[in-house]
Amino acid sequence: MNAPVFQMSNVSIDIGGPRSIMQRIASGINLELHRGRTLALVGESGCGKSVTALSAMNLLSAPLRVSEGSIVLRTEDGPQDIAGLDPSGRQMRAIRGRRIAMIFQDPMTALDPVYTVGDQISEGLRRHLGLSRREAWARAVDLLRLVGIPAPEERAGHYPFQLSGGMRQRVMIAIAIACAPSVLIADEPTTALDVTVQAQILDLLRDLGERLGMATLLITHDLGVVAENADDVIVMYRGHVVEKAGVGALFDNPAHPYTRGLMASLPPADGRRVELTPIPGQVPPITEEIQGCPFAGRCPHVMPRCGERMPALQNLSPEHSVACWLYPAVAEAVA
Amino acid sequence: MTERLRISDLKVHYPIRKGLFRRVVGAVRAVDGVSLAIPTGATFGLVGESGCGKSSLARAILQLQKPSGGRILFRAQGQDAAATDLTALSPRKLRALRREMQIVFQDPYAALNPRLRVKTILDEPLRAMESLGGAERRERILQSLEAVGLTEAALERFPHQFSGGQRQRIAIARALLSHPNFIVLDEPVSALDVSVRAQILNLLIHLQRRLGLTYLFVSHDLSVVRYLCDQVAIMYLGRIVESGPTDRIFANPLHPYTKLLLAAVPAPRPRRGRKPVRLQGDPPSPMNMPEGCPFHTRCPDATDECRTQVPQLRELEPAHTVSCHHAERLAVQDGPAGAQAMALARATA
Amino acid sequence: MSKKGLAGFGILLLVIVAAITAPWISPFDPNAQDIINSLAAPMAEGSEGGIHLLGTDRLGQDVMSRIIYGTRVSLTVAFGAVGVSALIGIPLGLAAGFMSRTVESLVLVATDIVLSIPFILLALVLMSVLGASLTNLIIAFAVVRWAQFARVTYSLSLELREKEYVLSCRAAGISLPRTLAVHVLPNMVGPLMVIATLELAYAILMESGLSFLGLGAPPETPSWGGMLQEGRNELDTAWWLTAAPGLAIMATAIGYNFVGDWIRDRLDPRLQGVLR
Repeated sequence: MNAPVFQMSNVSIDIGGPRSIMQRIASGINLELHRGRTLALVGESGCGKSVTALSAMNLLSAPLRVSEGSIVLRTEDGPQDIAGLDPSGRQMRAIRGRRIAMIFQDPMTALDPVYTVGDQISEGLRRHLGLSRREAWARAVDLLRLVGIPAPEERAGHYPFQLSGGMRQRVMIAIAIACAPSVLIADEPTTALDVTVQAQILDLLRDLGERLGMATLLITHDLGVVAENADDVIVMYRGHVVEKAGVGALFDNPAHPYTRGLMASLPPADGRRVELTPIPGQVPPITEEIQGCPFAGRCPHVMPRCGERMPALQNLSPEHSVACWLYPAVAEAVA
Repeated sequence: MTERLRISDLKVHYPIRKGLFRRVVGAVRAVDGVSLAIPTGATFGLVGESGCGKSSLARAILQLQKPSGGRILFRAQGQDAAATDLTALSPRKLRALRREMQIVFQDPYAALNPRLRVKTILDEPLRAMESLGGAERRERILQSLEAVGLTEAALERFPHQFSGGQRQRIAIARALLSHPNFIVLDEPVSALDVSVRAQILNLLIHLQRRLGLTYLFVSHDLSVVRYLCDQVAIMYLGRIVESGPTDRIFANPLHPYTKLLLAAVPAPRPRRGRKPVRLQGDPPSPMNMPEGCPFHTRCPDATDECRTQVPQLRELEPAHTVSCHHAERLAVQDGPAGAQAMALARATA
Repeated sequence: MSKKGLAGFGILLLVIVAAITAPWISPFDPNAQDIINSLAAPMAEGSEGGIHLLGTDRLGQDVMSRIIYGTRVSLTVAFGAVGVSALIGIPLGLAAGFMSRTVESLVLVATDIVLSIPFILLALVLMSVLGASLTNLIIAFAVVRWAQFARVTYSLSLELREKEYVLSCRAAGISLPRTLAVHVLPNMVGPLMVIATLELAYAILMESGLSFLGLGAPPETPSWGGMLQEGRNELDTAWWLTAAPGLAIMATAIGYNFVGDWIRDRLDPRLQGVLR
């Protein structure tokens, strides 16, 4: 496989300024995005998936910040560590929208209600690619057609409130792909949508990713969405990556007790009425300091050493790694 | 089997007002002639996408929203003779009946008053519904809390001190206070994380078995509905398009909308290469309903008949009804499996 | 607490303490005339001893003492006027939000009408009909400003009445008055407090304005607006006659605004995590 387009290495994110108490909310995040592939980042609320997405855009604002690690974007001009760039500086602004684009959960609040969708798509084209107003508008119409909006010439002149939720999310996608970015970050892009519309949008994202050769980071809490749309998966829990695998390996053979717990919590797909096995308890609050593995308190296989130290991710197979003391590979790596 | 609830031709229309004098210029037909019956002790699933009217229907049943037409027959406890029509009750009699039917909402953050301690949140409705002394009320509250797996320690705390799952437990405890026999569950697990969702689902099943509750479960999540419900009705634009026993609906969906809805649910099993047929477009606005079948604007199999004639609900299998002009033809077209299943079901009935 | 909040509370505390302890802390009787020392500059010595810290007016009355006594008028009018407005406006706003469509329309039309009349004009008419007195000042203010409270309460009601815990009350058969008192009103306290502090500042300015026009407090009552009006004629010779009450009005109004801002920030749940 080629070198990844985008790579986060050992990234930790802290909350708190110089005068307040520091709290680590994500640590040791490693992830790679490849052209034309989709990496899903899955986890429940508070697992740190959204801050990870924001850090990938260098969009964290105080009191959140990346305290360790590197976030490297590879373009034709060579690799660049965007974690080191000024978040509001010129260089970073030239990357956002142009090289890395983002789609948010709620298309209603992410679109500006006072401009037409054509104007909003044109804006990035004119700023990043230096197109004229007329050229940008023509491209905007093409993009609307590309994302499957009927009568794009007419729709370009519409305001967001005139569009349905699914249409708005299509517009968001058009804005995101306007400058042909190499990385697309989709943060719960279909959570606010109905299931039939969700299916349409996910199909579209997948299709565009493959056709335009974009690397997609898909952030979601829905294992069904992961199964149908991802190539690779990262499972996060309370700020740690606990498992990383190809999508087939993850669903056939989930390794981390948390991943297994998540799957056992889902109603069986064949409609059997067996009793569900939920994960007991709840995610410890972010304010709580945890030593060792954050899942230890809810884990059915907890061992003394879980409370002492968080294990690092170790390979079970070339495309499957897990951070859990249950596995000899993990234990041996320390010894 | 007795029926806990029977709804006939229920309508909820919201007037659209315009102009200086707020004249009524039309109506949003949120619920447009819905009939259904819920057997005692069963879980009835009401499924649909946003704006289909499922929440309006749920709220109208509890008279939180005044229906514009139709009847809601509710059989209260100890009243084995006739059921009461909730739409015709005086406010006083309705208040007396309220203790028998309760509701749990979707958002556990909005469902509990953030300024009150849990003990007040639970005590307030109890005061309104039952004439009990302080000690008896406390006893009731503790019973309710225990039933949902919380302890006395919760009483002195405020809602924000609990996680989403625990809040939903408190909301369920509140619904149980008056010993109801019918509970409307309006998307009760949609806002919860997967691992917590399973806890709440187990709790709901457990409570139903122990207390003999009848549930109306409103949801957009088909996998949960399939797991929890005995019967299902699918709503589209204010009408029921298909209803029947859960197994039949999932094994042999008859309405094109149901089929596409089922195909759209992402299954937690990787299935590469196969691309299911997708439902195109968005539902029309309920302010501006299409002529004929409400689904014809998106239906892949629509004909001229669909564009002009409103289909009626017809029973194609025992207890399995569908409102589609072409259900039989489409079942055959779907392949032998669908047609055979239907023939088999008919023969065994 | 923010610096702004501290400053606001500091100013208000000063005003309240001054109002309570006026007889003891005032260097002179506010109405004692010292004609020999008419229009004395600040720091001038009085004819019977003592220093006129802020000078004297045309009648030789000590400006400092009158400013201190003026806090009483200022506070009475501000809290009285805002209190009465809230007592009228909040119930009407709740009624509009939770009762029938007819009530809703009536209240909304009434607030629109009241808020579209220039306030000072209406107050002028009322004061000239009723006569200048502190009570009438309060009435004039409430007649107009209740609408502000009603409108804010109404818009908060629209949001709260859709809240599921309010719906739950109905599902439990809790009566409307009890629902409003126990479940709705407490959730409005924050925003209403902010409005109230802004209205306090407004009331102070209004009192001064009306007194300036001679329609406020009666002349024998020392009030900031009245002082401003009397000092106007001596603007070129005795600047302190207008500067002192002017600054007092400004400081108090700013004080209320700062307190309002602080309450707003304090109650904004989005800021809680950050401020904590």
